[in-house]
Amino acid sequence: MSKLDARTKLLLVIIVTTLAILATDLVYLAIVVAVTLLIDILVRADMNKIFMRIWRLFTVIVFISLVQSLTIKGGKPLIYIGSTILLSTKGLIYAGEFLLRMSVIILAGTIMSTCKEQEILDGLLKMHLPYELVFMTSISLRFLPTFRQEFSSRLNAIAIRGISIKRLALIKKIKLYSYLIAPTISGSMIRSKQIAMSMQSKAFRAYRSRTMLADPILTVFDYFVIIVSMLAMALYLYFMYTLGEII
Amino acid sequence: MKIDIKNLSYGYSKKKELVLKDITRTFVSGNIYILGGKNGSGKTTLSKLIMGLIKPKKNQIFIDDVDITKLDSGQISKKIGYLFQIVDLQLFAPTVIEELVFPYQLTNTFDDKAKVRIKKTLEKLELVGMEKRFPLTMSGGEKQRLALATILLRDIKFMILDEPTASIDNEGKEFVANLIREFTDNGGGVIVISHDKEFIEKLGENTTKLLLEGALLCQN
Repeated sequence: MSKLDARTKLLLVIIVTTLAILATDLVYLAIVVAVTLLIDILVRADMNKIFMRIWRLFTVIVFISLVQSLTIKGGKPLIYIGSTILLSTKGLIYAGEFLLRMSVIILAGTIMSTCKEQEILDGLLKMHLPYELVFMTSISLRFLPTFRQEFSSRLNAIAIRGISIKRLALIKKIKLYSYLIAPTISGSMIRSKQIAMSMQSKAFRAYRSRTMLADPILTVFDYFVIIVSMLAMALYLYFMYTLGEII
Repeated sequence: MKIDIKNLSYGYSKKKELVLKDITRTFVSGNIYILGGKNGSGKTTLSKLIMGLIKPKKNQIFIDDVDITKLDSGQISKKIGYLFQIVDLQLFAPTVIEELVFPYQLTNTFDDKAKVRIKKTLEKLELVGMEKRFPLTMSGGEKQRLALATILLRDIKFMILDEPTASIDNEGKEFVANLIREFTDNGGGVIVISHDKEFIEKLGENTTKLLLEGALLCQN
């Protein structure tokens, strides 16, 4: 499955993320997470990278889940002071749902990371999307790593001023990041502008049709995966709406 | 001060070839080391490893006999100054003066002593009168001098300068060469990564020339 076309992988991502949005129950969501993880394994995604990503976001996700669980009332009260409910069963379920949905997003993103940027762009072009739109997608795909690289370089620049970032108090850290945001964004935008200029210098948009270097073709296996995944999605939705909420 | 490198090997990923292979070398204060090598030979990687910006394995790099894996980049930078290859990435404050003041403010050490030190550094690096300017709109030479000022503000014992003449004119090269000589005359050590023969000549004959080739470090 690692050799699946980028369009097939894109469809799989669309299916799992749609199901994650539609699923209104912890059990259904857990199924989506399990399926997405299975797809990740089958497309040979870098599992270490997945766990690193989840680990990095873990505290943020847990914090947001905690806030959700405290702000959403309903169900059986679990922790309360007098008449004030601090934690209820509904709050806990919402927190769990948030956790699972975030996991689906991270896992689904990793499916696409097994494709090369060019494969995605070629796939989008084959789907008859306007070249301008694909070009903008290409720029935005490059913007994120550029932004990350810029930000990391600026953090290094701070560290080499003799500042141990990890040891700074939270308020100082916020002040420090405020110093970094403007130059990082402007630096990334300058780089994106340079890419756009370089594309224009290569006669981008000079002709209506362009010759593609690679011509991605959907294989029989791609069609098989597409049909199976569509059927699985239909079945999933059928059972979800007929059985209703489990928890 | 000395920087000891012992059997240092480094690769960016297990699948790729090693960038640095079994490097052993000691850099001692009071000397100028010129590090050469083709593009991609690992010069910047070596300097980033020394600065702790890339983490080496344990017991491979020591600063005054302390394993640098026990230190973070902030602590290392109190002893070693580092000039980026792309100076623009080293500057981020809205004005020249803020660029120099903010590390003191962040660490609550901005006092009269710091003010004097900043004033002296501005004078030394010929930046007086530019205090209110936006660093990123300055000329290549001015940006280079400002980046050097941010390094020399601290009481460092070593400097690593990555391609310090990449964006400066002849006059600027003379200025940087003089600065390096003065720094080593006062007991500091400098590692200069450069291909610029003219600039290397300006540093004088009393330098140690090293070459990174095929992931190995050898003396020229």
